[in-house]
Amino acid sequence: MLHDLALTTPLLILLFAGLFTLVVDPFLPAGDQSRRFWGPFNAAMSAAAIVAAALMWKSGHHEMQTVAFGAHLSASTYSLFFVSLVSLVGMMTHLSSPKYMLEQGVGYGEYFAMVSFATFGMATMVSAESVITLFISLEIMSMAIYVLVAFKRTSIASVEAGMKYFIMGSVASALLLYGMAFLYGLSGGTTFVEIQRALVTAKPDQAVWLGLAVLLTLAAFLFKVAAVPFHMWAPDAYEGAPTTVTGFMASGVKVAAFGALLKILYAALAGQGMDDLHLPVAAILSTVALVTMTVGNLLALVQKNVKRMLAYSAIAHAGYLLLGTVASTVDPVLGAPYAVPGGAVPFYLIGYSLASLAGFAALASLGKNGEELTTEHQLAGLGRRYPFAGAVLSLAMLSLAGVPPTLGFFGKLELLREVLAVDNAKYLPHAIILVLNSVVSAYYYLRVTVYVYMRPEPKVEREYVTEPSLTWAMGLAAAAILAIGVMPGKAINVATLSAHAVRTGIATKNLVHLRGPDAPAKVAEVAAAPQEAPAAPVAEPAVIPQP
Amino acid sequence: MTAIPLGHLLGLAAILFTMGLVGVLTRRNLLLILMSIEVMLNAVNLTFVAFSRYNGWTEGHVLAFFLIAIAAAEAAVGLALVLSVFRLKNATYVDELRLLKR
Repeated sequence: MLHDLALTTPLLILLFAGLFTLVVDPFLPAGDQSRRFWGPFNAAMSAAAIVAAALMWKSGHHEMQTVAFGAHLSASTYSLFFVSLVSLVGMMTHLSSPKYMLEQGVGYGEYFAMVSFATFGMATMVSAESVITLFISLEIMSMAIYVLVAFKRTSIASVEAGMKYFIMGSVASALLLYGMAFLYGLSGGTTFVEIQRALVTAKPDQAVWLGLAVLLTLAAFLFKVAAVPFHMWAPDAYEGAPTTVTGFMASGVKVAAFGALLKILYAALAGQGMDDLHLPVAAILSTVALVTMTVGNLLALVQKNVKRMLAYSAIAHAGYLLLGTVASTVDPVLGAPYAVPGGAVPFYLIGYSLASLAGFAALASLGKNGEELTTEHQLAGLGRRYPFAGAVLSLAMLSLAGVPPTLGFFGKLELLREVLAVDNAKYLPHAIILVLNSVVSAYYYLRVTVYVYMRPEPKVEREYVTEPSLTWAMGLAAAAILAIGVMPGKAINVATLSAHAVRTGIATKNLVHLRGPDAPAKVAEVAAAPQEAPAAPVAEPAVIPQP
Repeated sequence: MTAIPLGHLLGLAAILFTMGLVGVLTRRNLLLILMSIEVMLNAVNLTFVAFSRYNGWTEGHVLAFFLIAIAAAEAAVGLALVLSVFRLKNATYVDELRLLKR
């Protein structure tokens, strides 16, 4: 029990931060000013979660046993990587929020508690090893975010966005649950290991039910990442939500959803490889990816509001990432039939989330008294009047567009490399369409930069919300985009190591040592480890009713 | 005693789920949409419990309890949102929510 708790240290830190904020906040003296303290406090707690995850990765603590609580949760390198990334997103949001929320007239302590709870939900979601944990953590994240989107409760736009997001999100949750119910009925278990084992041995007459279950589950994830045709909620929710929340949603939810999607695809739904899914999932995902990136980019072209434009750009990025999910490689430990994802998706997510956070933090810094500057015309001349905010915004746009030497460029490069490496460039047409889409997207990203630097300033007086923590958030994100962009090697390594550990309980640190002459014996040993989880009774086909 | 066959329960759950889904898509009143969402969640509950009951498993029953708690939390957040909408718009119809559509 204690060992299980120790494995969840980063999650517990995030949970504690949220609970502490929620419980102590009512006892603070009245007035908004004392609430600003919660931003740095929660950011520090998120940083502590990152440190805890990094220490666990370094110490190899997780090598002994990565699964906790009866194989419902894990602290594999895969989980630790994504936990750190969502904690980073949470930290940046906490840093950029206090002054902005105060200016919007909603500088309450609950805001920071909700962001911490949502971060906790995301971290648990990417650590989940069973459908129960996955669903509950998904709901923890989603419900906190519904509240955050509607947080500016005097603004009809914010409440409307929250209501729309809530309705659509609840339907997606119900679809996911229904899919999971069928997975449970067919496998008799709720953990990914049990589901995978049952799917490998499934009988042909179960195929249609399996297909339905997989389809329902995928649909829910496609909704969460805002892929076409489940993207309709995204522009409204992104535009109506407070800007810092939009940044949090755009980066955090996407990271968590892709983290969980990769895991459930490879560790549960795929028997041994992508072809074992009882459904042409790779074909479905790659087609959805193409449609998503094209629709997202084309609609982004015509947007005048930068927040709404970034929403459509987020849809396009979801398309790129979805194409990345089908780029599988052979499992370096288990060998040929088993597939694992490459490091491209985790690595791309680092660049995408940092750029989104930097961009939305820069937008959040341009507002006062409930007013925001979000249209392109309002941003004109920004670079001259507020060089720092202008530079960060431009850098974020360049990184999203994929201009070297920013992180976004290497993310796309790595993604293309891995997509092309599948089956003798089977996805060559997809890769070409991705590149064409990137070219189109450069137009609307660079248009923002043009307005920032080359258009004359409008007459309206505007205010720049200065605050050390906001400046820190913008500076940190911008520095990371450039620093990792210049030296991407280490980050790509870490992302690849984590992606290869997607299967339950197999720590990649073990795998690295396993490439010697005595590898086969050790491989068998490591591969046997996750199988020791309590074996599920072999389920008879339950969906087909017995008379 | 003749037990109700599994197929009947699954069929009922499927009908309930479809009713909920259609309700969300066609209803115009936010409160009715919330109720439809609850119907969908309870249909899933029924599916889980039916599978558990007929195979002698336990996880499904446990999951049903989790789901009831989650559905309650979701209703709380949903009703709070409906209340916010009502305060600002004096109505609870989705047609009122068209500020962001362009």
